Amino acid sequence: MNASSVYRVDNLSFSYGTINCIKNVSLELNPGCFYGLIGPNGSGKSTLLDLLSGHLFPDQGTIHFYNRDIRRYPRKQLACKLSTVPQSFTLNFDYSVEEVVLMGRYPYIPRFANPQDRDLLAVEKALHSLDIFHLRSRKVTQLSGGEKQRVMIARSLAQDTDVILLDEVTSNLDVNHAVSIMKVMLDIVTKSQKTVIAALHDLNIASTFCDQLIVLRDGEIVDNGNVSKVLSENLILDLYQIQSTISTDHKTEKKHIKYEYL
Amino acid sequence: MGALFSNNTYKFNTIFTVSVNIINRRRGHRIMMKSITYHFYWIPALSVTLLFLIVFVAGLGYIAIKPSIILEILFSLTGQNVPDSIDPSFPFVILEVRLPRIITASLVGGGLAVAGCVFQSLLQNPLADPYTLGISSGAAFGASIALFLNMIGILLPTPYLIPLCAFIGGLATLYAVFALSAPSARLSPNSLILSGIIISAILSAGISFIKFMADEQVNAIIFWIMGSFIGKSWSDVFLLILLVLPSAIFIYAHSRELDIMTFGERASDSLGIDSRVVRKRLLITSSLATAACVSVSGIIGFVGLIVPHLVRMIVGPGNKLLIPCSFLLGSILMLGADTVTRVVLPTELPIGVLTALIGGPVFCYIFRKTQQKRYGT
Repeated sequence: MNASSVYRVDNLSFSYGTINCIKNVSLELNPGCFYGLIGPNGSGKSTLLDLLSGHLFPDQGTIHFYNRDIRRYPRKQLACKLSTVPQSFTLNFDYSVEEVVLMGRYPYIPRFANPQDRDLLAVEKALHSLDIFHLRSRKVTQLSGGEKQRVMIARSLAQDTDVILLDEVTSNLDVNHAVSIMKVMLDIVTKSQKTVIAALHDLNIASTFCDQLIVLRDGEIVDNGNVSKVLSENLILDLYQIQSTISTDHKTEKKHIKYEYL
Repeated sequence: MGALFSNNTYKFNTIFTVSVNIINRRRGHRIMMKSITYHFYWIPALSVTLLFLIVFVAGLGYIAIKPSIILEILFSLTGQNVPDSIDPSFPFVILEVRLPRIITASLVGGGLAVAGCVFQSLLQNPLADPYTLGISSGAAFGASIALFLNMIGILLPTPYLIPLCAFIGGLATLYAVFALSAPSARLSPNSLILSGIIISAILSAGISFIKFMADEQVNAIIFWIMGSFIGKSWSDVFLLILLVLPSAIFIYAHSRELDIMTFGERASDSLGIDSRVVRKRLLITSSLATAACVSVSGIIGFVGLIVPHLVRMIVGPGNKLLIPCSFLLGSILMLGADTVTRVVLPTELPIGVLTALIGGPVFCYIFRKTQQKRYGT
């Protein structure tokens, strides 16, 4: 047991009505690490992230976040340490991009107070790092799907938390933007010792950017550890019923998966 | 000497660059904040308009009174004597007849508009209004029962009975909608809207049944439901001040939460808002304000739907400006509409009919315009 762990999850179970989504999951996640959460559709990735973010509470088991039961954090205090970019969100009203990103500073700004310079600076930085500074006065309702997603990620960066949870944020993006977002995240992990936990579908992106993989199937953890250790042709066959060949890039020593579609 | 000089130049340059950077950064921020703080002048502008309108329309009516005389009468409230030159009946007309009605109309308009903002933000639906959850039907049902019992002589007619029953009816409906939609206390927008529609439909049938039972005296019920500010007194004003103003202030204090909650529950939870609790609190507060408005004035449609839309078009969707501006514009429009039925029209049209008749087509026009803008035709 590690005293400095970000998350300690013990025997976690959760069900929606009679459907068991998470079955007896135990995990320990360390700071300064990029975690990839992989598994087929319906394997419980989003539910696990909901539980880790405190949006849902476990039926059984406990989640300790920085050595304290996550249920015992006041919401705002949690929001200063932990941010989530959800898979889906509603945008019905014409807020401008900078207004939305400024909402990320909500936990730091007291009621009735105006945003301070440091808040605006955080917003500006987040806008720049997601390459959407030029969109700052545009209405979010008029943006493309990828731009909207980047705005939500910028909001989470402006929140300036030690831990960031990403729920399939690259699924709607083209390769260029998907990779640039993952680069931003990798940058945050390596330079600022932050912890990112990202549910991912693209295994090549996962193997390139993540340090560790957590593999879920039917709400249970199948495997968990270094990318090089976890990722194998057998695992992919087991999870997705598809043949593949995995090669290692000489320069980067990253694993590359080639699927056999036919 | 040369070295010293160049050193100083270097220092000066550094200081200069740093300060220019700071200035640039601050200016950048100001530009950034422009879209957020740009429209604040609307609050004083609308407040002044409302005050002028109140003084102006107080003079209109069967007895026309000049604004200067109205001001003198209003100043007399501070303890000064009314000058002898003023007709002795004027203070009574202004202070006991017109002013209570004017203030009631303003507060009802403002209250409904603010409640509309809240319902639209919380239900994540620009088409929601204060009546979406069926509070109006509940209030109308309560009032109908009071009127009906009155007709068959069970209760003594008091001016407080109908508002009281309407208020209770409105809140009971809210409770029923909550109970129906939220076994898990999650109160999702869709289940709230659906429950509201179901309960409303049942209550409408109930109202029809009471109307049927009332037989020839059905007019009293019909007129109550259509809404009116006729004969409003200071007691109505006090009820509204007691309920609508604190609700509006409470809602205004939660404007940032309202902004964030339009993005959905996950997004707001992750920013540190206990969205389940805050949503329930705000729904109850705005329903209290709505029930108070409806119980005083009857069902006045469209203000709660249109005013937030109009204001959003002018100042943007941020609730920090939207809420106060909606309150003021709602007051202005309701007061204007009431003045039209009171002064301009030959007979007093029920205000609910008037707002729907004017508001409906105006809304159609605005909606069409925005659709055209959005889809570029």
